[in-house]
Amino acid sequence: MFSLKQPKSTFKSYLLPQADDNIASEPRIKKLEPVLLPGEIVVNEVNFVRKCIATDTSQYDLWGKLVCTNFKISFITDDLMPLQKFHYKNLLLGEHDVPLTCIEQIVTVNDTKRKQKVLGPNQKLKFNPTELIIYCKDFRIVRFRFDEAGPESAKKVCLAIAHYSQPTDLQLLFAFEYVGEIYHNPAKKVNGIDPGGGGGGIGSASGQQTPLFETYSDWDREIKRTGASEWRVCSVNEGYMISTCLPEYFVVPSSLADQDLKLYSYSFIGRRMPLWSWNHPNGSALVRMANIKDVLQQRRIDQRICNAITRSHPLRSDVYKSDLDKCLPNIQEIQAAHIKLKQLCVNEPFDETEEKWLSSLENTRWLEAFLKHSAELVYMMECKHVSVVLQEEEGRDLSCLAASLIQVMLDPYFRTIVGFQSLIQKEWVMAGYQFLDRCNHLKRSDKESPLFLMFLDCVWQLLEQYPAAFEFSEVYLTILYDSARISLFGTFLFNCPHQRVKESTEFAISKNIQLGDEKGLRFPCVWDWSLQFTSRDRLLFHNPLYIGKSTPSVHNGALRTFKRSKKNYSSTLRGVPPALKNGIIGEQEFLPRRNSLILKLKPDFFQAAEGQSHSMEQYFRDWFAKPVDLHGVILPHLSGTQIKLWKLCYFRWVPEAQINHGGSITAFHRVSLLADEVDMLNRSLRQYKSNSSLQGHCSELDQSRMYFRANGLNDTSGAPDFLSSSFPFSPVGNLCRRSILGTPLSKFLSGAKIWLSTETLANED
Amino acid sequence: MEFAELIKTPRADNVVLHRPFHPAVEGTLCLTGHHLIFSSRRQDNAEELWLLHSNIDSIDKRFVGSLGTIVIKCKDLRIIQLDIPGMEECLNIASSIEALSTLDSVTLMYPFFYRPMFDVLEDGWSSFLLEQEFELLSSVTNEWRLSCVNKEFSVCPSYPPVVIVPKSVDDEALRKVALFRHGGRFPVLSYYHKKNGMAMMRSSQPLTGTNGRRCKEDEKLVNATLRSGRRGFVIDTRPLAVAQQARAKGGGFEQEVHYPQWRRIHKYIERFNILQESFIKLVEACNDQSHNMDRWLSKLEASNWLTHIKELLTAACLAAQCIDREGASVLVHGSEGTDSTLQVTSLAQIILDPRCRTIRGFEALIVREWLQAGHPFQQRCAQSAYSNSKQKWEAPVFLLFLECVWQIHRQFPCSFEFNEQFLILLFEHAYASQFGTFLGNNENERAKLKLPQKTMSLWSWVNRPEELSRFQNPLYEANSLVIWPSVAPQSLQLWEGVFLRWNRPSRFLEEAEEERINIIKYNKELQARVNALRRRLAELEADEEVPDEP
Repeated sequence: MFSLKQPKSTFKSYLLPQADDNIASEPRIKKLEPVLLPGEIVVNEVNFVRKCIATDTSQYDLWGKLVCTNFKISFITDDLMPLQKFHYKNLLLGEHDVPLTCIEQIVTVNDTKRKQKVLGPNQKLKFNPTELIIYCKDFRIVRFRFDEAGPESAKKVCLAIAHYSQPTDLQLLFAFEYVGEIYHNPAKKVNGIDPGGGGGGIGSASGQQTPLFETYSDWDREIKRTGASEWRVCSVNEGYMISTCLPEYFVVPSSLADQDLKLYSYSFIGRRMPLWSWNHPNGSALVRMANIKDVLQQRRIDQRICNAITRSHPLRSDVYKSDLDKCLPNIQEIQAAHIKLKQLCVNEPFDETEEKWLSSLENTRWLEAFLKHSAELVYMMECKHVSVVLQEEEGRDLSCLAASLIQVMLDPYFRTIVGFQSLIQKEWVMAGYQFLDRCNHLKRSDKESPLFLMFLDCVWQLLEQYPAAFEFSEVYLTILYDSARISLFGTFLFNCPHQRVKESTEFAISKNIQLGDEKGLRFPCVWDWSLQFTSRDRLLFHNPLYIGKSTPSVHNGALRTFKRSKKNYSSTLRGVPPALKNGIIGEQEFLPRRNSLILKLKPDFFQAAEGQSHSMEQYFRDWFAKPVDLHGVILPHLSGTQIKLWKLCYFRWVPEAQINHGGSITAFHRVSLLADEVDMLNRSLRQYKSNSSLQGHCSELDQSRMYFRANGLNDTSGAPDFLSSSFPFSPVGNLCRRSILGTPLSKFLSGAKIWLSTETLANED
Repeated sequence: MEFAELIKTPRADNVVLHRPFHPAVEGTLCLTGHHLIFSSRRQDNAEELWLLHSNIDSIDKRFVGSLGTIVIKCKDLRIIQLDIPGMEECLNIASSIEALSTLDSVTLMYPFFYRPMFDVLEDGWSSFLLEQEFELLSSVTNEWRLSCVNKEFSVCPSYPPVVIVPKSVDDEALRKVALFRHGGRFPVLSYYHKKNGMAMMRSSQPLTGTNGRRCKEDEKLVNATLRSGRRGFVIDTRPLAVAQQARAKGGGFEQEVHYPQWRRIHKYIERFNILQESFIKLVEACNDQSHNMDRWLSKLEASNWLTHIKELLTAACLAAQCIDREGASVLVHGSEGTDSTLQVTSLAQIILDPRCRTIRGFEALIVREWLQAGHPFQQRCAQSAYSNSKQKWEAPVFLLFLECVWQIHRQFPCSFEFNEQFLILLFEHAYASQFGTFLGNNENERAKLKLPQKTMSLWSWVNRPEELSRFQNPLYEANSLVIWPSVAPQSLQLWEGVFLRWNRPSRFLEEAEEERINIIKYNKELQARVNALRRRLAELEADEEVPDEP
C-alpha cells in the first residue's frame, strides 16, 4: 500500500549523521526501563538509538533506548521533546510509544549501502539497518536512527518489531497475554482499576454504565426505552447454538416464535436472522437483515418476516426495504478511497500536493452517500411511519453504519456519551462488525476497510453542523478512533462476540485458566476510559456547547427569556428605510438551492412512485425551514460546501496544517470557560435557594464538566499557550514533514532559501 | 442632468420578486434616481427591498409573451428576479436600471445625495488622521518624522498630503526619490514593529531602466531604516522575470550593487485580470446548481481563488517573518505599489500587530494602508463578478485582502474584536455604498471631490455604539501575540459568508445573530445590575460598620 517511492524521495533531504555537529556530548549511559503492563514482556531492545524529530536538522533528535514488547514499541528517553508544550497523556502508552496494532508498515534502511526493505513477518534482513521508519495507521511516521547503536541488536529489534506486529494468530495479540496474567494474578490492576470491568461512564455526573448488550436485560431495557412493545428479546442463540456471528440475545417481532426463527435461520447467509435495532416513538422499527440465500424459500420467508414486522407496528404499516449493497459504495471502494486520503495526508510530499489539493480530495469521500441515504431512511420512519429493513449480503458492514447513523439522527439519546457507546455496542460490536478483519489487526487480511472510521467521520460532520446537539467533543471521537488500534480492548478485537468466547476459551484452556461460569475471558472494555485517561483528562470528551435535557437552563424560573425582536437593521443595500426581513419559505422557489437535500434526491432510487420523492423533498424542505430541535431529529446538510474534512483526526500530525495558538480549540476553550461559569453560577444559585442559611458544603462547587475551567468570575487570563489546532495532540516528532518549527517558518524559509541558506544575517554583524 | 430623464417608467404594479430561499412576493416596483424599491402589499408581512443602482453589476431581460422578466445580478453577488407584466414597462424599467447603474460621473453617485437619519457622534472623515498615528509612533521612537512634502499632491498624486519618513531624510531628498520611483511613490513607513524596532516600508518599483539608473537619495532613504550593521529585505511582489522585463519600460528593481545591505525576495502575487477571472469563475461555481461534491471541488480548484489566497497569505507571512523572526526591516513593492503591495503590508500588520485586530485598529488600517495609500477603489471596484465588460483595471484586490483576514480570523477565532459581518460590510461598501468613504481612487481625488464636506463617512455610521455592537466578536480576547496562520491549502476554506451568502437559507442565521446581539445586550444590563448591587452592598456594609465604632 505504501509505495517505496515516497520514502526514497525524502531520504536525500535528511542530514547524514556525519554532518551533524550539534550533538557534542556523548549519548548518556543511563538505565532506561520501559513501563510494562501486566503480561507485557520485553522482546528485544537496543540502546543508543536516536529518535528523529525533524527531517531538516538533527539538533532536536532524542537519545534513548528502543524497546519492542509484545504490546508496543517503546522509545525510552530522558530527553525532553523539543517545542512541545503539551502532552495529552495516555495511561497505557508513553509519549513515544506505538501500539503494535497501530503499525501499518515497517521500513528498514541502510543509507551507506543505499538499501531499504519493507519488513514483512518472518523475513530476513540482509543488511544492518541504519534507520527504521514506522508508518502508523493513525497517519504518524516515526523514524529511528541506529548510527551509534550496535548493528546486530538494531537488526534484531527491527525483526522483532516486524514479527510481533504481524502475528500469525489472534491469540498472539497482547490482550490475551494481558487477560491471562490478570486471571492468574487478580491483584495486578492497571491504574488501580479492575480491568475486566464493564463499560464505565467517563465520569459523567450520572455515572451511568454503558449497556454492552451482552445480556438479555440490556436488550429488554432498550425495548422499553424505545417503547417497542410488540418486540421481544429472543434467546434462541444462547450459547451461539444457531449462528456464530449473531449475539446471544437479540430482538425479534413478538409474533415470531422461536421455532419459526430456528427454521428460517437456515435460509439466511450466516444464519443471520433479522435483528431489531431501534423503534421510533411512532412505532416504526429499524431492522437489519442478511440476504436470504435459499432462492426457493426466498419469497416465502421474506414475506413472513415482513408480515411479522408489520404486525409489530402499531399502525400495521408497511415495511420499507433498503438494499444497501445496491445503493451504497462497497467496502472495497471505501478502502480505496481511504488509501487515497491517507496518501494525501501522509505519503505525498506536502508541497507537491498543494496545487492539486482540492481535486485530489475528490473521490476520497463517501460520507455524502452514507449521510444522504441515512437521511432518506430517517424520512421513511419519521414521516411515512413505516418500518425500515436494512438489507445487505451478510448484514454486518454497511448495515452497521447505516443503522447507527439513522439512530444518531433520530434519537438524541445516542448523542450522549453513554448512548453513543451503547450504540456502538449494539450496532457494531454485538451485530458482528468484523473489527479484527476490517481493522486488520493481524496485517494479513485483504478485508481491511475503514467503515468504523467512516462512521465516526459522519458523526463528526453532524457534530460540526449541530455543535450543541452532542454531549461529546471531536476529541472524544478522535480518541475513540485511536482506541480501536490499541490491542488491549476486547471491544474492537474480534469479528463477533462468539469469536471472543471461542478464542478466549481455547486460550484459557491452553493457559490453564479456570473460567468457571464465565463464557470466555473478559477483556478490558474500551468504555472503561479510566484505563487510558485520568478523570481530569477525560473531561476533554465533553462538549461545552451541549445542553443536556436535564440541565436546568437559563430560561427556567424567573430569568428572562429572550424575545426575538423583529427590529430591522440598516444595511448598505437597503439604504435608509427599514429593510425587509426574510419571509417564510414557501413552496415556490425559482432559484436553485445549494445546501438542502432536496435537489440531491434521486427519485429513481426509491421503489415508490414519484409522489414519494416529492413528499420527501417537501419533508426535507420543511425540516430545514424550521429551527432545529437539538433534542429531536437532526438531518445533515450535504452540499459539497458543507461536507468538511475532519482536520483534527487527519491532520493532527501535519505541522504545515497546524495553527499555533489558534484553531477552533481556542473557541472551544472560551466556550468551556463560559459554560463552566454558567454551571458554577447555577450551582451557587441552587445552593443558595435550597439552603439560604448558607452553611456551605462546597463540594458541589468543585465539580466541573469542563476541561478548561473558569478561575472565578471575570477571569481574563488568556488562552493557554499550548493550544493549537492539533490539540490535544502534537505533530512534533511526526516525520512526514520537513521541519519541526511549524508552518510559517519552514514555509517561508523555503521560499527565501535561495540566499538564506548561503549567508545568515547574524554572520554579518 | 436630471435623473427623471432616465426614468421612463417610475413605477410598475403586480411585479413578482423572486429570491433564492424566499417565497415569491408580489408588489410594486419603483425606480428613483438611486434606488430600485420593491414593496409588497401583503398586509401580514409588508416588506420592502431597497437596492442601490450602483450595486447592480449586470441586468438581463427576457420575455414570455407579454410577461417580462428581469434578472438583476448585484455587486454583492446576490441575484434577484423580477417578473414585470407588460412588455413596454419591462423594457423601460430595464433600460432605466441599466442607465442608472452605469452613471459616469462620481458626483451623481448616491453618497452625494444621501442624508443620514442618525446623529453624527464623531465625524469619520477625521477619525483616522496620520498625525494621530505619528503621535503614537513618537512615543516609542524618534527616528521618524511627518513630512508634508506632498501637501499639494504634487510630488506623488496617489499619496496623502502627509507621510511618515525617516527623520534623517529631508523633503528635498524625498522629491528626488519620488522622481526615481514609479508614480512618485517613494518609500514611506507602513508599520513600525515596537517589539524590535524594525520597520516595514512600502513604495513602487524603482525606475532603474535598462541602463541601471541609480538614485543616491533613494539608497539613503531605504538604508535609513536599517540599524547599523543590519540588513533588510526587499519583498518584490513580481516574479524575477517580470521585474527584469519591467526595466525595458523604465521600471526595474533594487540592484544588489547599489543596495548591498538589502536582499530581494521575489514573491509573486497575481494581479488584475487574472484575479478578476478567478473571481468570476469562483462565483460561477458557487451559483452552480449541481451539487456533486467532486464537481464542486474541481470547480473550486479550477477557479484558483484559494491559490491566490494562499500565495497572498504566504507573502504576508514572509514579510511578517522577516520583521518579527529575522529582526530585519522590510521594503515591499510590486510595480505601482497600489495593489499587491498594500495587500502584503496590511496583512502583515494583521499578523504582527494586535491593535489591527481590534475594530478601531482595523478601521485605521483600512484608512492608512488602503484609502490614504492610494488603492484605486473606484477603478478596482467599478464592477464585480457578473460584469461582462473586461476592463483591465477591475480586480477584486480588496476583497482578496478581506478574505485573507477572514481566513486568519477563522484560524484564530478569539483574537479579533470584530466579526465576519464586519468584513462583509466592508466588502459591500467598497462596491456600492451610501457613504463617500470608498469613492475616488486616492486622497487627491477625494479632496477634489470635497468628499469630507459633501458626503458622509462610513466610519461616522459604523462607529456609533448601536452599530458597533453588531460587529463585535463575542469570543474576543485580546491576544498580544504575533499570530502565525497556517497557509497550507488544507487550512484554507471558502468564504461562505460572501460567496454562498445568497445561496443558503439565511433566516435562522439571522435569527441566531439577533439572538446573539440580544444576549450580549442582556449580559451588559446584568453586569450593570451586578455592579450596582455590589456598590449597594459595599455601602450597606460601610453603614453597618459605623455604629460598631465607639
